[in-house]
Amino acid sequence: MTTQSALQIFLTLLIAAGLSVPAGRYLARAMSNGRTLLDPVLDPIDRFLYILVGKRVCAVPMNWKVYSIHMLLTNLVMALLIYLILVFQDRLPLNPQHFGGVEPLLAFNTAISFITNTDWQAYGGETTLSNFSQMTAITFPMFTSAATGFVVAMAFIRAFTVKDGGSNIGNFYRDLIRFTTRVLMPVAFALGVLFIQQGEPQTLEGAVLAHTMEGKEQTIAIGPVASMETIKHLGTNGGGFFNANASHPYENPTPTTNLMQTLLMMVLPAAIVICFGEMIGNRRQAWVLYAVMATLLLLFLPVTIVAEQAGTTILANSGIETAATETQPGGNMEGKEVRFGIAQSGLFATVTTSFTTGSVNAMHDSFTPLGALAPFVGMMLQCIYGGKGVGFLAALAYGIIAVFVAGLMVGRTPEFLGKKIEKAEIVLVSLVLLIHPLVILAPTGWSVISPYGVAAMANAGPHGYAEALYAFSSSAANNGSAFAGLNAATPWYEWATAFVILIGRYPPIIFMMAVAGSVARKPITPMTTATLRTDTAIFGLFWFATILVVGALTFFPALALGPVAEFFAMKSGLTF
Amino acid sequence: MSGIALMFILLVAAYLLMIGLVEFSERIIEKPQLGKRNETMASSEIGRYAPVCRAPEDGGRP
Repeated sequence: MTTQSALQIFLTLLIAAGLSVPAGRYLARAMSNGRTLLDPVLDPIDRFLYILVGKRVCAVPMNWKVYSIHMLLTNLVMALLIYLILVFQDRLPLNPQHFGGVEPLLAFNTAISFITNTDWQAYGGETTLSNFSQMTAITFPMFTSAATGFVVAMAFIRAFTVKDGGSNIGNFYRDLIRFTTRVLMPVAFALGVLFIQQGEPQTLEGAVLAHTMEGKEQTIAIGPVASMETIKHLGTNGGGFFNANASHPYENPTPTTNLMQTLLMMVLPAAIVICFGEMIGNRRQAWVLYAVMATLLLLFLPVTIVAEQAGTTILANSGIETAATETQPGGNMEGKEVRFGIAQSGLFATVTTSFTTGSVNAMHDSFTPLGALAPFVGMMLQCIYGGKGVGFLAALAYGIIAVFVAGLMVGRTPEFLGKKIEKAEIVLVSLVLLIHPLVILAPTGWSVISPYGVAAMANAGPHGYAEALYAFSSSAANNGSAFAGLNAATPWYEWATAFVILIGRYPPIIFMMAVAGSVARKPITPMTTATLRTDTAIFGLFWFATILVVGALTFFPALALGPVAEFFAMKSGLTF
Repeated sequence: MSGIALMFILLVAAYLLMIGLVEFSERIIEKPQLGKRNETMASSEIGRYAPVCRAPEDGGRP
């Protein structure tokens, strides 16, 4: 890693951490119905939306079950709407390029993908979707899916503070509207204007015809790009207007937009942890969790940067300069934007997978085997800050397991935030932690033994296997980024990723909401000298170790067959 | 058109299945928790077991 790279990365992380603290406190205030500066402007919008949804339903106190069912029904209605818009886009307005309706299986896959905050794209945006589809079926769910994940996390946190037995952990619609109007809309609007100023298109035109210097014609797609780019990163969505995603000069035109997009991905997921501390009235607990997540990020981030900067023996033997000089970046520049270089590509790749956004400014398929390891780990652990709300829930699932195991080890009653952890919570949390590897490993295994699974891979051997493993890791973690070598637009991958996305999203949320319901019914146990404290550095270390041990035991064999095997094969000159 | 309808139905079915999962989760948390049954039994039958629970120095069995 060069000094310049290290400095760039250090400053980016420092800014993100610095912003996450005030953002977290603002979130806590906004989600606890506290006053915010924007209230005079946004209160009327809220009231209008309450009338639209139904004033009565927005005022009903909800327990975990009602909250979850309303969340599912709202998501279903929106998924159906997205699906219908996509399949009938040829009959809808704002289709200047006259694209046909999207094929039903692809529309099914896309509807599930975008309503779950995954944004896995088995299509090229600029060659498949009309502007109307891009705005309503793609950009709109980027707001609602992010808000859904976030409000579920809020409901979960409230379960630890309520004293009414859990009959009121919030109102789903009120939370959804408030988070959208108080956080997502203002930030997306303000930064959207900045992105337009930086050169991102924002127009309802379809494409422009350019005449090249060679006298040829080139169709250059444009459209409402800037409005999508902000929420795409702010909401940890990741779906791109263009197939090349954030490596396309219209999606990410300048180093400023690249920095802004990297920061946008990080700030809210990190702020949720701060918000958690404010809401439970225990900042120390939040900082312990924050430190666990930050340590995991700092552990894996350098692996990517160092591996990419080192390049490979094969590149060096081919006569390519792999050492960084004043004029050359060195290392492995295959699949990377020259504008961003190795540091910004490696950082973006690690952040987009750790914070489970899924946008890419470099092609992950072209990373060195070890360079691709951090993106894999980010999606597999799913709790290195993770996606909006759900990453936080995954971290707490590991935390509850850690509490239980630590309680057994020291002979104290397992308690978390004053609530006893018993059989029901452990069963539910175990289900959460088992579903994730199951929906990654089972379809990956099937993909590498089935002829149609193998046929979609661009590479053979461990690299081809890694392409399938990445696809299902990305789908299960609701990430959406891809190892571009895999042709995802085939029936097997469209079916399989759709179901993996669905199972990777909702059952863990439902089970964690049930944990919320269970703990909300329990009285808060006063802390005594016999209580195992969870807001200490020692417990933080144990939490960190639990994540690593459970994660390593679950996923290391799968990684050993892919990136690790490819690394050793490449050392002996074998490529795939 | 039948393909469009089929996927539409499948989407609805998938979400209904998830709602079923909410019911399933409730059953898990509705079941008696570990320890609770023992606590109830101990409190209601405390008289019967009281001699057994005496410490050895109070005349209880070691």
